[in-house]
Amino acid sequence: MDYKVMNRLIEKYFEGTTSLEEERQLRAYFDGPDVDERLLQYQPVFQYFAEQQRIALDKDFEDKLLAQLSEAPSQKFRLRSLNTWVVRIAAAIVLALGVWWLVPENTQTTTQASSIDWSQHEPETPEEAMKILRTALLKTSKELNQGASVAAGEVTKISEVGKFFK
Amino acid sequence: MNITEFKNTILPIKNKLFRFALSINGDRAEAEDVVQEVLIKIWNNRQRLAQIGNIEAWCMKLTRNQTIDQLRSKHKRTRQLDDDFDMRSDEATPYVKTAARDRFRQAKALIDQLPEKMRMVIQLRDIEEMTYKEISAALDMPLNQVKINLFRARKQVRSKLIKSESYGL
Repeated sequence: MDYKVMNRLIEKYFEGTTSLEEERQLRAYFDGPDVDERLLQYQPVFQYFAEQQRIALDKDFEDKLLAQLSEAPSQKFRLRSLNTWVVRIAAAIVLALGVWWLVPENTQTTTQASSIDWSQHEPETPEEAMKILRTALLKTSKELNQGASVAAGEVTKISEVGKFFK
Repeated sequence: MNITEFKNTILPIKNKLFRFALSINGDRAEAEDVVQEVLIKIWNNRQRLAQIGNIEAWCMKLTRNQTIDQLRSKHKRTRQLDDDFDMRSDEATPYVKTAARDRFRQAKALIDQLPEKMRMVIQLRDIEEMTYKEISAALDMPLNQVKINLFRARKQVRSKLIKSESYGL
């Protein structure tokens, strides 16, 4: 190609005003065998660009990638289907069963408690009444003590855990 | 996007992405890892691709971010000239013979020594043949900054070329 034309193109290039097509022309010119002596100083840079354009991935890259991609979607689909339908339905069933199981249990306890026939436990003599009262109080105090000791145990545990956060 | 569309629109730019990653991290194996991860990411987000204006610029941007993340996580940046040089593919260098080889090597060093922004802009323009607009999108850089960086990069390359020529290097 004419020296004058190429030189003008070089000047344009370094001014930053060349088009992509003109830049392609420059690379092709300097990558070829007939470079004008006066322009030789610029050859290495354009040759370097042309050379860089030839760098490519290994040929088996695409096959490896496509094999990986074909594995990925089925896995993703399984996970997503679990997250939506199955889990939601299962959660609804568990909730319904839980409510069904808990509610009758409670009502049974209340009706049982209210149907105690107190007339059978009515004391007949003052001694008997005293005896019943003492037994009841003893039992109550025993259970109160039990409750208190459980509570004390919990407090000790909590304070032990609290030490770690100090 | 199905696999055929992916093969037709995304896979043809794989070497561009590879060269861009390679120009940043300077390691062939790591650049290949980057491209693989980027392409898998794109495939997994393929439903969103329709909303993206310039897919190529967007892929370049992903590649750049992924390469920088990879470099950060490995705390290293090896840009050894000799390694880079030997790494070129076999079919290359039809005209680069031993005498010219040093000048070629020197040209590579000139580009490598440019400040990062300038180097990226010159890589995307003079090697990847991208428009200013595409470069602006890929690098998150205003259009005028793309032009300024390219102008400065070329100017710097020219002055060093002339300098080394006059010293007979």
